[in-house]
Amino acid sequence: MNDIAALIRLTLRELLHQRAYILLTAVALLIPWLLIIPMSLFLIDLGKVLSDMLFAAEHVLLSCFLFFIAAPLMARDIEQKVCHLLLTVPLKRSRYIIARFGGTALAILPMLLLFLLSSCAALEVVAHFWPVYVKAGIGLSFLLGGGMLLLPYLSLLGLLYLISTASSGGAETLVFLLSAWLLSWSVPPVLAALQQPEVNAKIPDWISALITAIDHILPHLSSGRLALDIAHQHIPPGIQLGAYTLEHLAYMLITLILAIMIFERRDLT
Amino acid sequence: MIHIEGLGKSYGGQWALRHASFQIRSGEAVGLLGANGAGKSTLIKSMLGLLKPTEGTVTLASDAVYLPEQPQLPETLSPLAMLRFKCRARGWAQTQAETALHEAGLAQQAWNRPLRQCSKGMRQRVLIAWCLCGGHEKVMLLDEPMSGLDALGRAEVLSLFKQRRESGAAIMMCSHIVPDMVRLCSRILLISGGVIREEVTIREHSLSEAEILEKKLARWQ
Amino acid sequence: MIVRLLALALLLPVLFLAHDRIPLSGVPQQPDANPPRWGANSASWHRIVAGPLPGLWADQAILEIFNIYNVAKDKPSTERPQWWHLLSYQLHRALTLDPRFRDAYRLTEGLLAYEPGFSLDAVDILEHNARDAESGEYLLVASFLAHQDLHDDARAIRLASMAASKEDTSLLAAGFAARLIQRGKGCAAAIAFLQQRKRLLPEKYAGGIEKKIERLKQDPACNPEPAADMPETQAMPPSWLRGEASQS
Repeated sequence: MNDIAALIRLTLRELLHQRAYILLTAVALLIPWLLIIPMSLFLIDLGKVLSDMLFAAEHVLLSCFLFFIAAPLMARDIEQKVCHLLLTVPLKRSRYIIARFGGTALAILPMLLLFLLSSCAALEVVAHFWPVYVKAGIGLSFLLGGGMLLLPYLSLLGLLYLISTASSGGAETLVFLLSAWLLSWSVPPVLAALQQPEVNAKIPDWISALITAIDHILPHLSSGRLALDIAHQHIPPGIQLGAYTLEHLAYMLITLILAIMIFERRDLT
Repeated sequence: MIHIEGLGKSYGGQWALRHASFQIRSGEAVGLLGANGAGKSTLIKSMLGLLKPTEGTVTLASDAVYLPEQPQLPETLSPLAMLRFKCRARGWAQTQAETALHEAGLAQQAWNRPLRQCSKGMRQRVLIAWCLCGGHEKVMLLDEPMSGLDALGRAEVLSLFKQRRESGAAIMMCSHIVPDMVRLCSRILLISGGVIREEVTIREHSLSEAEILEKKLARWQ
Repeated sequence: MIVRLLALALLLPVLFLAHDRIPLSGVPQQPDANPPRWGANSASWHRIVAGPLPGLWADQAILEIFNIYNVAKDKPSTERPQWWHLLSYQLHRALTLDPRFRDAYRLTEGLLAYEPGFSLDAVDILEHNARDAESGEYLLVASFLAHQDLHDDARAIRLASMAASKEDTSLLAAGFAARLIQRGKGCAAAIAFLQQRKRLLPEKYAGGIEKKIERLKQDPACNPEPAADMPETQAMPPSWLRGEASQS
């Protein structure tokens, strides 16, 4: 395990010292306080509106991490031959992927933790000054929701590893990652819309069955639905949260196993 | 120490390397000389398993240390962090990282500097230190190890590799700089079109030998 | 390369369709002769566009409403309906994406409902979205609007009954519903409704409802005899009285 722990540590060090990471972390700290300004434009549901904006900010931060920090790391490794050095330490290819993934996933945590704590503080301050419009305890529910929002990004990180192990470099990785990112956010609401009774009535049975089948392999609780519920301080039942966590962790593992299988077989030119 | 038998690599039916067979004994340095695209890097990467050989067998007596040709080192890391990683991964003492950096001739002020602030020559020395670190490997595969170094630096690094050779390491070196190769190696493999065309034994380690070698290589182009 | 080109080729028609069908923002300075209307598929389209951020898009719709109101408020009354159609569209959008958004309900009842000719729109929006909301407050407002502006007491009774069946209901909802029922269907039905509410609502409301029943019984306009003599099997009110949602 020495080699995996050492590479996780190296990856963390590599990512945490990047200027892009430091900038994102600074933004993560500041943004919750700045969002209080647009929140004050609204009438009643101030806590809900601030939570909505904070969830959106979290999506932006995690997407930036994915595109500007995690994707270039793997692209550099393969394109600029850093992995040649690391693999000839020597390190098995599977262990290299696991360690790089572990390091990248762990690198999200400091930034996310600072963002969640800053958001929680901002929400509690808002609840303190506008108790009529913001329910008490909103900060804590946001902490839960914000933490849960990390899970789809861990699945996407697994998908990024799958893409980059099969791709030849940065441009290809980014194009496919962007497509996967767009699909992962657009497919669930499209499927949900297609299953509305008024739409479902107009489409042939076999398409309807196909849509239902595809929908069954996606998480039952979408992150959009989760964020909306938590913004209104309605915590979904534990069984739903558990299923959501397990489903995303399963996607992450599947993509990671596929990534290892591909990387084991590919030529590193 | 190194035994290669009928090694070949093809990409979609096009052979980049074919029928490569040779041996390198302990305490011997062998050069691999060829023009760009002759198959030098393909041979070394196939030996390391970075490329999956299409045919043939590779037998290395121990873990091989590899120096790739001009890799872009992680910019935010320091030389010391890079080498400490290697020591941690192998379970070696951390002090070996410092010893290797010292041995490779990298000024101590640069040890903790991010690699993005290091010159090309300094980065090459970090890579040399990466190869020397630990000193346990008996097989060294070096792809353009002198790249980015000045004449003095090249001489220093050559003497380091000579020491390793004399302590029993088997070294294979690719380079465009023929005189350096002649100084270190006892045999040179001339490669062209993915095929090892000729094996030349170096007797004098002199400049005239290098000129002869260059003429021979030109014949195979 | 082929995959990239295919992906782009697929993306372009989606963007084109989305641009054509979904007016998201940008308040025109001149009224549109054909302002967008909330159609059968509008909700699905907007849910798709909102993706993982339905709450934020609902917030954006509210900001859009502020902009529309800001432009429209000084316009002559002949031009206002065009703007109010836009406003209604955005309210539909906000509540479709977030059916619990109190700002959107407040703007529906406070802005749209009081524009001549838009009461029906306001009642539709409130009824459609508040049906699944936890609070009965907005259904009660819709009921009041249906009674006061639309003079549709049947709908008003149905809405008030729905409001009175919500968990957070107040005596006001039950009282208002009972008053409408009394006017439309007689005292017996009103008393039956209140008795049913008394059985279903939390204990804290029992005293208040009992007082209302007593008041109704003592009302000279009422004839409480039929209700008092009503056999147990007939005491169960019809579905519209039980506050069950019905498609109208």
